Amino acid sequence: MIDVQIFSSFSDVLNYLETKRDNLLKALEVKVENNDVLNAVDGSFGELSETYRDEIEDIISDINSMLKKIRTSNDYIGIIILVEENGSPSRIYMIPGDLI
Amino acid sequence: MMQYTMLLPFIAIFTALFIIGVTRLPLAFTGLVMAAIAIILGVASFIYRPAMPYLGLLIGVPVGYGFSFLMDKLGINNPLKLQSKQVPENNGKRRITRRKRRDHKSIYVSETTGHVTDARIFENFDEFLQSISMTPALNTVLEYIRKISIIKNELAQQQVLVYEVGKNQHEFIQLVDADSIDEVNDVIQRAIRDRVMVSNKINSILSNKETIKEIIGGRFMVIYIDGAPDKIIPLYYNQE
Repeated sequence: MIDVQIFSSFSDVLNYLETKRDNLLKALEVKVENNDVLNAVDGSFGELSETYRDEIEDIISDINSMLKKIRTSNDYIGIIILVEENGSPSRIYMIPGDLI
Repeated sequence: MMQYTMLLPFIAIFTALFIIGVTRLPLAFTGLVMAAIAIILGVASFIYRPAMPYLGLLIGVPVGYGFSFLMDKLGINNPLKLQSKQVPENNGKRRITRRKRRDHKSIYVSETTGHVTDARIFENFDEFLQSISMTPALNTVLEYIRKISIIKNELAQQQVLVYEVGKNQHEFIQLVDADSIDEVNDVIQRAIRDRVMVSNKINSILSNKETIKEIIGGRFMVIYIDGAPDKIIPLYYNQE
């Protein structure tokens, strides 16, 4: 699943990624019992895949490695497209210009 | 005393065979067992002299390792190894699937199976409703496409810089070729397609919001699958 986030500066990207990471870390602290899970669409009882913690950990480590790289060069101003593959930041496209 | 010393080589051979089976166990575990055997035998041989020949077990250890190593080198299938191999498998499985998933990750391959993409904790239902009604999820997909098309037009003339995780490049790379512009186009087109599915799901959540709100109550965690809220886990005080 591909998602795209658009930013106008790297500090916004940093904020976005750090907030997302913090949320994920908090989510990892929660112990989920399977009888607590509801489907978001209609509120019926659901099941959570066993690998969800692994997937969250994967995303966190991808965010961390992206954050490390961004911090070294965050003075760019322009259109910044952050591409997320299955929730993990995978690449950044920087396009000179302005959306507004 | 004599008959015990004659037994020694046989014991060594048996130990060697035993070790062949054990080699596939985690090394630390094997080492621990060996250390325990050595200590027990050492102590026993002092207390009870006839136990001394069993120290031959210790000779068997390096012989067994060597034998097993040779079998591996020669490509001979070791029947004893296969049985004990199952022990660390469960532990390793997670890593293997994880790596597999990473290897298959590519923006050129369309994936239809669900992946956890995010997880957030909300204090109340209204906060959650606000987050899914907010940009750009519900702020109509059209608005999003409009913005994207502006970028696409920009792209037609401008250069694109690409920066990617998982590669060893620590600098932003300047790409001016048509390929990179096509790539951005492709990625954005795919994101638009995926967003439509997300907003469909959010629409059905919104149409059921009264029912869901009643069931959930206060604090809860939302697991997002493929970008859309998929599972809700009500939180109680003892869960954190």
